[in-house]
Amino acid sequence: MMNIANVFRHSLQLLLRQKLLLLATFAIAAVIIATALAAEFGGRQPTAVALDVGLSTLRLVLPLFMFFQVQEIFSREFERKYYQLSLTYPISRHAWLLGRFLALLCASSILLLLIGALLGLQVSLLGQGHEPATPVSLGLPYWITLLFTGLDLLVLLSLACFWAVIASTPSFVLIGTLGFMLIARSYSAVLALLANNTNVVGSVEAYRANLGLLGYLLPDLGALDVRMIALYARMEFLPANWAALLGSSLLYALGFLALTVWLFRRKQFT
Amino acid sequence: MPYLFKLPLVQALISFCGFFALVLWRSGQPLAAPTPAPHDRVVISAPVLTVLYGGDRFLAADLETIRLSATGIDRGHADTHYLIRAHKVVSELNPCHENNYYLGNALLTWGGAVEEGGKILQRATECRFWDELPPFLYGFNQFFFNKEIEKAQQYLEIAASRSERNAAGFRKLAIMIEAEQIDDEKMALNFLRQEYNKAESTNLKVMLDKRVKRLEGLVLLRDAQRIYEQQTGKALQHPNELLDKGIIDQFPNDPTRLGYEFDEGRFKLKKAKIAGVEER
Repeated sequence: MMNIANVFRHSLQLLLRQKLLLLATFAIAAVIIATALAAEFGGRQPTAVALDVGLSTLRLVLPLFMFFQVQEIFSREFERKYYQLSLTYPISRHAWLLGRFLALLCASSILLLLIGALLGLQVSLLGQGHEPATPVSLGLPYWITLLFTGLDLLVLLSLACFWAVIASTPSFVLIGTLGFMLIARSYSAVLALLANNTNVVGSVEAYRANLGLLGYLLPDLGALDVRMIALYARMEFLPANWAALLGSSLLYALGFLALTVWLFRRKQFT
Repeated sequence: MPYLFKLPLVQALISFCGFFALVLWRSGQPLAAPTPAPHDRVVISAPVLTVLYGGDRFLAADLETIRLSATGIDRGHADTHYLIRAHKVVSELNPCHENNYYLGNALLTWGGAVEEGGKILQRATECRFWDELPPFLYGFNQFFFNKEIEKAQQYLEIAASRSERNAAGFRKLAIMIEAEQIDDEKMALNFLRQEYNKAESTNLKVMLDKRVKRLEGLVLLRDAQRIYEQQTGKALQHPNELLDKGIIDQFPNDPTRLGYEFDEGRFKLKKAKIAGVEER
């Protein structure tokens, strides 16, 4: 336990010495600029459109931030053979990996909360001075939305660590996890939309059946996007089976984390 | 001479000279007849858009609405064919999107595409289960354009059940349309003028101004018909009789170029005939 805490502390120091703060600043700036621009085009509902686009940007830049950190802390270490030194310390590989994972999780969570708070502040400032028919909710529904987004990020983080341990090139972490993110976030929405878009693919039913199989391979990250509860301030938009949704995504992340630990223990360094 | 060809720089120079000579020769050739530019704009279907926007249907809906409101209307001319498809795609991505149903009602329904605008409002009514505006707009349009009294009343009742402030007004309207005691064209005109005053973008204002003028033409025609029927004591059979009697000097000009029609003894707004986009 002590070992994990030590690795955690050292990893955070390592991240801070690298480009963590610079990348975090870029991520924050991207969300704030996108939100401000969206509000300009908001029409009848500037706050809802601003919050909507802000959350979308957050869901795009935070994974990128995480992947760069994973590259920094795993792939660089393997590439530059720092592990020849770091693995000689009297710590288990288990602790070596989990300490790094927790440091990444900590940095990403802090950034998520920071951006969330700034976005909430910005949207509430934008909303001052005019009263829309249906105002957005920046209270509990908003923070629930951020919690679900955090779970989405946790799944992506554990997957990125998995790729970092098994892949031989650092760029594979970025490509592999981005590809996973794209499919896991879109397949359930595409499945639903195909029901009334029958002319997009040849045989819709066969296509939907095959796409439905993905549900057993990938967690439904698209359903974790529950922003409608905050956008329209109606808790009714929260999926009824939210507990199962949270549980399944959490188990998927833990499963991949355990698999990563197992693989790392058996990893043969050349 | 063979010695020169062994120098790589000379080889490079010769190759590039040859390249420039061929480009020059090609530019001198007569061009093939240009293929005519495609008439219509592309609207990508909703499932494909979702993937293109990284699995984020909300972002797709937002950006597509911004795109259609910024580029669908240009110098007061609406590209109705494009707008119908674009609004439909957004309403599939996020049926709750407020700007989409509001602009859809202003641009499609009042631009002659009543059925297509109605579908967007129906989806918004379903998704925005707390909002009184989409069912009110849909109910009013059913009454004003299609004379579907029953459907109009049904949607006005939905609107009334969602509103605390306007419930009595909606219910009163539902009763009045059945008794046909209502000056529907003047009410519509007032409503459209309010939307015009609330609109912020110049482009939208120009568009709404045309629709207000179009409706003013209808008010003029119906007033003239009323005067004619009072003066002569018989129903108007043909619109030209208004000109013969000298009640109006000329028929009003519709700036949207859709025009008016005289059907079953009543002046109406003509609907746009849009081939190929109606739902089958």
